Amino acid sequence: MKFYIDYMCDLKSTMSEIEKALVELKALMKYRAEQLGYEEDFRGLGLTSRKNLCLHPSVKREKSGAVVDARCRSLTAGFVKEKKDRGENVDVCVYHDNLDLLEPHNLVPNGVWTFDGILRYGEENKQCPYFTMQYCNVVIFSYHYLLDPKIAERVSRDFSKDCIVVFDEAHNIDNVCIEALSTDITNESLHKATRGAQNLERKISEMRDTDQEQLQTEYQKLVQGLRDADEARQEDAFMANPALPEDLLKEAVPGNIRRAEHFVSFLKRFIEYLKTRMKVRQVISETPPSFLSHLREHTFIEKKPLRFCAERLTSLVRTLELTNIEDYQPLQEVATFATLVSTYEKGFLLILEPYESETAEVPNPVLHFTCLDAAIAIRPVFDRFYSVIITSGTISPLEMYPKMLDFPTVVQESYTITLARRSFLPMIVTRGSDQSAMSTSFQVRNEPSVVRNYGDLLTQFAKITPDGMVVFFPSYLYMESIISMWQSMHILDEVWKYKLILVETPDAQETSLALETFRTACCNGRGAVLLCVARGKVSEGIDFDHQYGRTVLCIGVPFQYTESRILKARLEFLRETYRIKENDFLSFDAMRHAAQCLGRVLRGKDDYGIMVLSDRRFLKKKDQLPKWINQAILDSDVNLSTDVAISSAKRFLRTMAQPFKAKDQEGISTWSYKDLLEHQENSRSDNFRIREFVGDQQAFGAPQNVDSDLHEYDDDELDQEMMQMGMP
Amino acid sequence: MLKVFAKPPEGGEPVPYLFHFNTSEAKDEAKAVRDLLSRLLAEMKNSDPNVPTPNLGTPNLQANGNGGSGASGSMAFASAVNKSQQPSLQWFDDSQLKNNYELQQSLMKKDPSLHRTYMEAMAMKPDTITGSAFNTQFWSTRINMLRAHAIETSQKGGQYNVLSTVRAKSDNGELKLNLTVEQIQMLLAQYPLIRRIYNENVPPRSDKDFWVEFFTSRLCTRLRGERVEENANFSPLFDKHDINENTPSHHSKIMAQNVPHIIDIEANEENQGGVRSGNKKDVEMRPSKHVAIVKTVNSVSERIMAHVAPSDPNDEVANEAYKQLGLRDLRGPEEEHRIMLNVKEQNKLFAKRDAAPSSNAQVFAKQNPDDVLFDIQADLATLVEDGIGGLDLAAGIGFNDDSESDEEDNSSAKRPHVGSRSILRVAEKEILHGISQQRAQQYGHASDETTPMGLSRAMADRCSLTHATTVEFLHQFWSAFLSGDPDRAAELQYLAESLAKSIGRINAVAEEATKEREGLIKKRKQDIRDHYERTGKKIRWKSDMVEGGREAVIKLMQPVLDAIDGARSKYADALAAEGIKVSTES
Repeated sequence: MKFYIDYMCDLKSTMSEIEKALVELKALMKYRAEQLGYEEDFRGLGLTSRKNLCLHPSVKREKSGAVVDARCRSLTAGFVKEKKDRGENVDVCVYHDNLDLLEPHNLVPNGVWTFDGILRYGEENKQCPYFTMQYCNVVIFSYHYLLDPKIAERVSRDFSKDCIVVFDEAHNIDNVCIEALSTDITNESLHKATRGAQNLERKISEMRDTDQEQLQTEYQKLVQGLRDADEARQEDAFMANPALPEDLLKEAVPGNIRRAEHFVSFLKRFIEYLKTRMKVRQVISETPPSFLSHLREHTFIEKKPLRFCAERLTSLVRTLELTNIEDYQPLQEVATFATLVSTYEKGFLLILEPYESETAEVPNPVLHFTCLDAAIAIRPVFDRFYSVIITSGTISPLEMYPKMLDFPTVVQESYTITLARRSFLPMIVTRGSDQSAMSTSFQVRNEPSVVRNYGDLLTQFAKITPDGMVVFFPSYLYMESIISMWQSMHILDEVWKYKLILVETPDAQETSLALETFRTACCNGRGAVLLCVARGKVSEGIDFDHQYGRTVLCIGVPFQYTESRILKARLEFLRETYRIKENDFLSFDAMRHAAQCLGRVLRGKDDYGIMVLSDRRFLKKKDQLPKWINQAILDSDVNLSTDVAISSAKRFLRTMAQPFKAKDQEGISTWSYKDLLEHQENSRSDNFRIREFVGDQQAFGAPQNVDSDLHEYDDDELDQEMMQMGMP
Repeated sequence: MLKVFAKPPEGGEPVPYLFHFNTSEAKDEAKAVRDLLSRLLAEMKNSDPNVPTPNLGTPNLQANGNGGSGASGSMAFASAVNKSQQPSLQWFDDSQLKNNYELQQSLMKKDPSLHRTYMEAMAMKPDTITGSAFNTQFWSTRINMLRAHAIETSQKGGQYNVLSTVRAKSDNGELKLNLTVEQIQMLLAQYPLIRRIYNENVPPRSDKDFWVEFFTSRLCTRLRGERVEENANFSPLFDKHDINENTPSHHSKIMAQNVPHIIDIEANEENQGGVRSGNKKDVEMRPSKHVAIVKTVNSVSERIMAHVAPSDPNDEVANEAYKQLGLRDLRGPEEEHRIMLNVKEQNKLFAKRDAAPSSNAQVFAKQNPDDVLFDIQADLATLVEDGIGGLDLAAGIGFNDDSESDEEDNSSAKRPHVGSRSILRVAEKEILHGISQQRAQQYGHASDETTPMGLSRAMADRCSLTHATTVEFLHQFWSAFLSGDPDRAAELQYLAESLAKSIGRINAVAEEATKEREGLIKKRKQDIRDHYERTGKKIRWKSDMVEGGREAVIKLMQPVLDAIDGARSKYADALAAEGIKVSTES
């Protein structure tokens, strides 16, 4: 067996996932080297933000990622180096400049580099890990870098068309796509954007005094068209552009924004217009065309120059050699918004919410420019690469994804899991010990009896679970309120007896610390419960394998907040464009997050854990769980009350305590080389038989094409039916 | 190592041959040789029924599992050492468990039904089986229970969230609260703020008042993470403090290090490319930052785990975290993690001992054992016959059985010698005294339970409380002092002062005890006076007969006081070494 990946990028949702994948890849390559007897010419790297990779002694201490980015650029930008070469006294980064001494295609030795590894290597050789990230066989990075047009330029440029793109952990990919193209504009960001525009104006006048020529060249370039500008873009391009249609790049920038001064005043006019729109005190939702016509009526800003805003701003920033980009971030947001709103007529919606909540008195207006169509962001990826794989442990149902992302699948397959023993116990608990129903539906979720029953469930499981236990709540708000209620009911006092309690907080650093404490307590034997949120930071990318999670408790169905206007707009869009019913989508979305939570507890075949879904409403949604979980739910483990669930869990834990050797798994869930050969033999003979069969059919003059035609016909009919049902 | 004894056919001394297999590769060879030999021998034995079972001719086969020569001996030694040191090894040794009567008794005490079964089985056992045989048999089927019990009993409880275990119970409209010494100790350990307030306020205030006020204060409610009600009791002592003061001044071990990448949520957020995306979270998903309980819960857990070594060591080389991360089932067979011990010439290692044997050994080494034995036997043989009638051991030590005279007259005249009655008496007394002291130390006097050294029960409780708090402060002091952290110098100074205050606290208790004692004496005197007035009889009584008072307290507290003195002098020494004078002596 020989495999060789020529080029592949594996996309993950979080950095934790990337690091894990790199570690696994490293182990794999080590194994291959052992088996093959030689090291392959192979390089695997991960890619993440500057903040996570910086080695510069003072820059890396900065708390905020944006500041790190800005300071890094100010030390490493191309013109900074030019200045230095001219003999000017400028600060540079040693780590970055050392890279110039190396061969550009061979910055690190072959091998797989984890983040820790590359950081260490960078420190030893005094070279910058962030800029070392390039030519390799496998590169793993967050899929924001491919989907988010604002940062996509950074990496996607280097990839060839035959590169295999794998979106791993892609269960949430549609939301990432949508968020990548959406923008929220607030009064504060507009204010900052104005300031940014004023700064630009000042810089321009400064430059006009000193370096008239440069502005002139820029103007000439713009006349020739953006294409050249695109080519001229250096590696250190700071501001990238949203996904633009091909024709836009070929066109020349319209005359009225070619001059820098004109462009800045054009931007200022646009910002002022937005400010007046923010003064409205009622909720407005409108489509981009309606917004544009209103805009033209009041400010005479045409659609065409608006489309070029983002590109024009990038070009200007480059011409002015600005380094402190974070000052212009809000301005860039506005420019991106302008470009997007004038480029796409469909799939976007503008929603102005003057008040933060229904009850709020003080206005805090937010203009949501929200993308409704996940396909827009991912379409360039499909267009560009031949092979794209979308995969996750918790994608279910599969059909939903091609629909939502609007692409045809070549292969679509769902796999189960083979286990030598029943190593996880999924259960649906619908009632408390007092037999009253448990649910987090909006009407009953704050009723003391429901809260107490959930508390009882938590306490009981805390009592019997060894080591770690993870609890997921449907939302932050509910988690906070239920924890406070549990404290006043003295339920937490009870839990403290058995486990330490840790809670996910809004602060990422604090949560990391809580996680570390959690892990320590689990390893130490003290045991701990981690309370977190189903769509939160912990649910993505953090595993609770082995002792870190023996029970995962999903309190309530993690539905989205249905009163959200953005969600409502998206539901309507999905219904009208892709014929996905509101309830189907909501339920699908909730169940994929529930499955995601459940999946946290099991990693590998020697692991074991209990999965508890506790809500009355899970009964009907059972079938929407991924196949491997759904198949493992026995009929006797559905619709349980707390006490029955506990006794069942106890029984399960007792069987798990029996010795389980690697040998027991052989031939069932792990295959030796011999098993593999046997399987190959079997499948080969199967194939042979199929070919024979097909041959017979053809001999009888019944081509299988007829069959597939029939299917297609059926599908059309079905679609017709669905269309009729979908339209009320 | 393979040792083969060859017995020459003509009889005589068997000659041992030693074969060393020094490398791990040679292990297989050793095994092969051994297998061959044992097979041959077995065949020989089978074919020749005359060969008695184990005789000298049977080669003594020893092939240690690991191939390293001499390793088996040292390993056996090592495991023997381990056995005595680590109870954990005892748990896995079936025979030790079976013979551990104490353990069995305690298990039966815990499990009455098992006890009943045991007694019934004991009664019904046939007489042919001895008690111990029965015992072994009975427990051999219950080894797992014994092991579980052994492990259970040898475990100690760790820290827990104290505040959650202390709740006032309402009893007839009155709030009642029970606090144990242990709980107070843990409260002081877990909440630096309480420790500080306690330290600053307790000598004027009594312990009881302090805790009563604390548990009714708003601070306590806030420390629990609960919402403070509008009409809650306001305590000027506690409620002027902010709970944020409770956050520890120094970071725990967990906080001191970076979080590994696989759980670094902060880095995850950064990983999105540094650009804020749209679609602000809806109301439900926006965390409000004002929920106190969340922070409280996390900080309590972190504090409890603060002294535990973090599970993800920050060691760059030891990628423990990554090892854990690996999918274990995808890994190949486990490699041997043992370190191969290849000791070539063991003698070299122990050369020192060989080089310089003790002078005695040198003397002995020159002697022929046979000669020596012969000499001694000859001496013993002549002992009876040499006319004196053997040795008189009693006379040898000067014991005079006939002397009836008491020690008074001759003890002064004669130098006391071994065996005289007086000496024997003194020895007996000493031994008995020692025993009683031992007993007292181990089990205490009968009265110690409630009124040690004549102190009243309330006073004893106060003593134990003060003792516990003082120990806690000492603990804090030493952990800061020994940390060697220059940043903690200020904290250390404060802790040293608090030690001084602790002495004050002990003295306060002692004063109170004196007052109590005086009260008792007064009362007693009054009684005697009354009695005299009534009956005209005097009762002989000395005030010394009343125990307790300052002395008792100080005596009880002496070890702690010594410890404080020790700590303070160490601190003063350290300061002197730094060239700073103790300015805060109280």
